[in-house]
Amino acid sequence: MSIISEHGYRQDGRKPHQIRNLNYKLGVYSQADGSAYLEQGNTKILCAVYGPYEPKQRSRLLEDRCIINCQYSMATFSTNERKERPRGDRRSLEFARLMEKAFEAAILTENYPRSQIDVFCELLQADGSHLAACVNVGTLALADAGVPMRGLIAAASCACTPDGLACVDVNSREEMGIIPRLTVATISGQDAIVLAELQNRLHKNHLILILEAARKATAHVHSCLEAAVLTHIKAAIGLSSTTDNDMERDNIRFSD
Amino acid sequence: MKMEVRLSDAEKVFIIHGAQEGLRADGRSPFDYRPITIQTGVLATTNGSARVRIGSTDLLIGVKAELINMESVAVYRNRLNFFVDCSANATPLFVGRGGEEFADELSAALDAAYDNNYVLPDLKKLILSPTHAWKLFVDIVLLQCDGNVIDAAGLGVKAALKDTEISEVIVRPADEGKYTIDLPDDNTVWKLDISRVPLFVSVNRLGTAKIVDNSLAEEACTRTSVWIAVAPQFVSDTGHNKSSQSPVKHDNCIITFMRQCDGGTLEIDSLEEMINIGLKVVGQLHEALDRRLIDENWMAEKPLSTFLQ
Repeated sequence: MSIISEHGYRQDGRKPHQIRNLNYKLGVYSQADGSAYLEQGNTKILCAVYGPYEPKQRSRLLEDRCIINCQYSMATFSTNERKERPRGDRRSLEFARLMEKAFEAAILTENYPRSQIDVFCELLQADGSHLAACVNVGTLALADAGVPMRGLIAAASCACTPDGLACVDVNSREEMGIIPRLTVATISGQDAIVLAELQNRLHKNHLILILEAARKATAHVHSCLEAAVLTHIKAAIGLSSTTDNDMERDNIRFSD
Repeated sequence: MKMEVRLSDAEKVFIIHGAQEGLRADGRSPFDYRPITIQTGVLATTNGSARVRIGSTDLLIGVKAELINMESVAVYRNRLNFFVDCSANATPLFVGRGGEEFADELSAALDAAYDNNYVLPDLKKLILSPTHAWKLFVDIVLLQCDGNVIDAAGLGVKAALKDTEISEVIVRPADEGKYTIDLPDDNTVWKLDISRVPLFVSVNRLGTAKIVDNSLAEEACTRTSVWIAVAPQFVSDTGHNKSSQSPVKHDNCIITFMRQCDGGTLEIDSLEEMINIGLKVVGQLHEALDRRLIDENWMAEKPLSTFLQ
């Protein structure tokens, strides 16, 4: 029962360094200030961004910069086994805090003193790499909201097989109980890491290996996100590309 | 209403006077709905699913069937189990537990409308053995709220139940009077009979006008509203054989739920008029939804990619 078969392929037919297809849509909802929908393989997430606006709780207000408020919610039907509660459990709160720290590092918070920016993620279908997909859809929604950032945050997950081979963008079948998994988010797919989360035990000799593989995967993800935002901006300001008909429909399909 | 939309008094007067004149801010007449979009089969992890949009209101409904063990069939409540989740995507007011009061109100209305043996005759088939049963969970996620959530929930639940597929199982007796459940080799499924499933309509009082399908701005001006759930009654049910009569008419229907919401007072004449308006409108809703659900070209719409379109 290994992630990689003897021929070097994974269960869904990918090589270890390949990410899954990314499908996206920006501006899904008109009522939010920014919204995005992302499919990373079969993981489907909706994100809405509200703000910057004046927070209602004055105690949370910061005089020199804005505060980032994230919420992560899993729909009760998103997994094969029905979940009892969509949020409020320890894992969703942990994900929300990790996302807050990542976005605080990228957003120019000092531009909006005494303000609050809300990022709400709703997971509609679960198929692994939930935290990475949430960060990716959050950065798309923030771009749709026009929030200035140092760069697009790209996140990717990476699993390590017992013989030290790195598999990026794990799906739910690869997220088995004892497989060490690392989620890394970088700004613009480069070396600045804004989020790192490791689950399960990992030998230290394998750490650099999967860190490097995850960082390369974030570079791939970032190229997809950048093309998505670029296409959305072109569609918004009226430019159209004649090189690819799919781009005109504001619906891009990427695969590594 | 739980949504936060601030209107000045002058704006409210404008909306109310327009409604009393038979004109609304978006140009509709009092009994017009905004464009309704319904898709089924939008989620791969559910037994049945649907997505409903009325104007900007957006709901996602998933139906999951779970095989459960129970102590005795006599004490088991064989009904649909509704859960409504107000996603914070709709408004920051729904963060954490902010939308729970509204969600409980919606799920209580759906529970009450479906809490009888008439609307879903196939509930009997969910009992497999004295200790085993299918339990149907209907989960609704409110993704965007632009008024009239209860009508969208009613439409979506019917569409999702239409899409629901439940596996056939083999029940075998085991030792000590117990039973075991097996799956057959052929992956056969059965579907629910939804011909009697009710639909909701919300009739709202703005000044002296009565309108359906409130937008968010109109909900801020509403004095009181009445929610009605109506199930169609077929000619064969009444025992008469009038072949010229259409299957769904507003005088051939069963009201399974009615509730006054949002406070205010009502005269009996007004309530009767609102009920009649609701019955007429919900008859049209039933006809339109039944036409939509038997549309044979729905596979061409790629329902699994509903948010990418």
